[in-house]
Amino acid sequence: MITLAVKNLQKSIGKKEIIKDISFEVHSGEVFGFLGPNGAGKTTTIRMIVGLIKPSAGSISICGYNVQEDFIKAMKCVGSIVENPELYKFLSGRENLELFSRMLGPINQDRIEEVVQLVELSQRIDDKVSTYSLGMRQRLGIAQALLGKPKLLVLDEPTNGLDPAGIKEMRGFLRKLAHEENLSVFVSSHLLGEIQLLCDQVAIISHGRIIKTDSVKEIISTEIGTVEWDIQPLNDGLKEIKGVSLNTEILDERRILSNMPFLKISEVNQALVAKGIKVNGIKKQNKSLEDLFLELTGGDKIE
Amino acid sequence: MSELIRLIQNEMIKIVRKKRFLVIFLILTILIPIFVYAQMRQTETLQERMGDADWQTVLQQQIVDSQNRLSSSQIPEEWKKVLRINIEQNQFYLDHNINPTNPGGPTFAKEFLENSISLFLPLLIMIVATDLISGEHGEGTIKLLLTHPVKRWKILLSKLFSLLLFVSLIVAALIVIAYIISGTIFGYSGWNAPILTGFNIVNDQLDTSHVQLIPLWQFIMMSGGFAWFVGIIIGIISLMVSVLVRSSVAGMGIMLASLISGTVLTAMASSWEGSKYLFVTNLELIKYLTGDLPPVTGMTLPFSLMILSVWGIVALIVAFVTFNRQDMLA
Repeated sequence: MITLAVKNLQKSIGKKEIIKDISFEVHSGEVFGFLGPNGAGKTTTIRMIVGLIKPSAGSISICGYNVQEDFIKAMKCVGSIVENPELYKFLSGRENLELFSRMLGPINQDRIEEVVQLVELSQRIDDKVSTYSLGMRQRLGIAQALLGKPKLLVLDEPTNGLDPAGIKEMRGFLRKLAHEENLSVFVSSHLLGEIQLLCDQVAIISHGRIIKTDSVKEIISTEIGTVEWDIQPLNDGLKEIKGVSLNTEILDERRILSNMPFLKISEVNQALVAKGIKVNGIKKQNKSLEDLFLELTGGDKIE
Repeated sequence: MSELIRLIQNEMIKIVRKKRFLVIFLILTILIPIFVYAQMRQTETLQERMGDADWQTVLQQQIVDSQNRLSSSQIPEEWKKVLRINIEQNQFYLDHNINPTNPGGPTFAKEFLENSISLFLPLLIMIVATDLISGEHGEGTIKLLLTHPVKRWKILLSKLFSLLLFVSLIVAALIVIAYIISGTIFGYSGWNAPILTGFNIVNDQLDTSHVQLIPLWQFIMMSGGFAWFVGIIIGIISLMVSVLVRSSVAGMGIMLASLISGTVLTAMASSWEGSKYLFVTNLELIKYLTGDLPPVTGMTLPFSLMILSVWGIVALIVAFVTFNRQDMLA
């Protein structure tokens, strides 16, 4: 089932076109990543999905309801955190949840209890939110988003500001929600590693456009990445390395970073050795968002 | 309907728990004693000036004077009416053993209401009202508020209703706190003391044909009603500013500037007739009861009520239309 369908979305603010053309679909039971550098239009798109901003053109439907025309029905299907989990700091966690429960219908204490246990916040739920750590606020934010039993969960940079343990916990939690409760989870991030660990599908956005939508496996397993070469003398080997690279960066008198197809590594190595250059080390690095962008756009820098 | 009640409940919780309302009570309980002290000193000076003369004797003398003037044939009929009312008023003071120079709690409450309607009360209301929407922007909670399955206009309506409730509470609190605190010094009696009202100003002439005496409690009820009306209009205008300006501080600045320029204008506006169409020059509604000259010639109670209503309605329309269409950007 398609829980979120975005078609030809556009948004201009003043004369500036922020979102040029965005289309994608999210299915139930999948974690969908929305990947792009800061300023690419992720948050603007999310604000349009949850009805905070009106699109200039195009349509968004949640569980089949158009957000513009059927706002109430569409919002009943979605729980969201836009940017930071900003809750009422002067109220306790429970009072916050009661407040949002009242917006959904008569206050539902059982459901509140359920979501509090789900996000493991029972110990501190009666404390004021101002005393919470960022991780706890993030969890309370998710509890709030889950109150109405949504079909779609929209989270903007959910691991922002969390420590590594918190990130790991969040990851497990979101995957569980998607795969066990059959929810769609829509997550934005500017970190490739994050998306890689968390998502099934990913859409990559740059300058207000989707440049690729694919399964995470497909995108990660492509054969281009960053390789660190440690050679002596560096200058003699530059030509060989630059010849196969999309992009290079000299680190010091011995080391050079190259963005290149992995299959060419041995070829370059042979050529270097043949020229009598000492190859002290070849190191493949984890793929970064930058590598991915280089690969997808053929050398366009991200801004 | 029940949804609206739940939303209003939410808004009330926010206002109460945000402690802004507490701030207002604190301001009232700290400032009123200062005003009471000032009033007490004034009374003392007045009594010193009168010397040892017994106030009852002074009143008796005034009554005799007025009666003498009444019997004179040179005085026009209209004036005679005022004199008769004056006698009646003084007689009441004598009969009920009320010293008119020594105000009781109710008199202080009346004076305080009269003096706070154009600036002090609007300031208190502004503290709560300008924060209603811009506060949510400041905290970032507007995003949560507007991504739930509730129409935007209902959110604003619930905020408006809770604002009306709080305006009523603030006006009531102002009267009650003024009465209670001043009563400890001036005594708690005097609700039935007669007050002159019914003056009309027609073409710069005081028209006394409708002048009458009403008991003080009735006068306070009327002034309270006016204060409530002014409070609601100021609340609605602040709410509009709160929708238009994303920052609470900027919103308060705007309201503060308009209210203060209002008091300045009221003091010097008589030559600029157009100023009578501003809301800030129309706040002194109680002055119409006591027969003071309005800031601009030709302003009357119905005129001021109408101007304030028009401002209120326009502000409401602007607030609702803007809030419904607005893009909630970061």
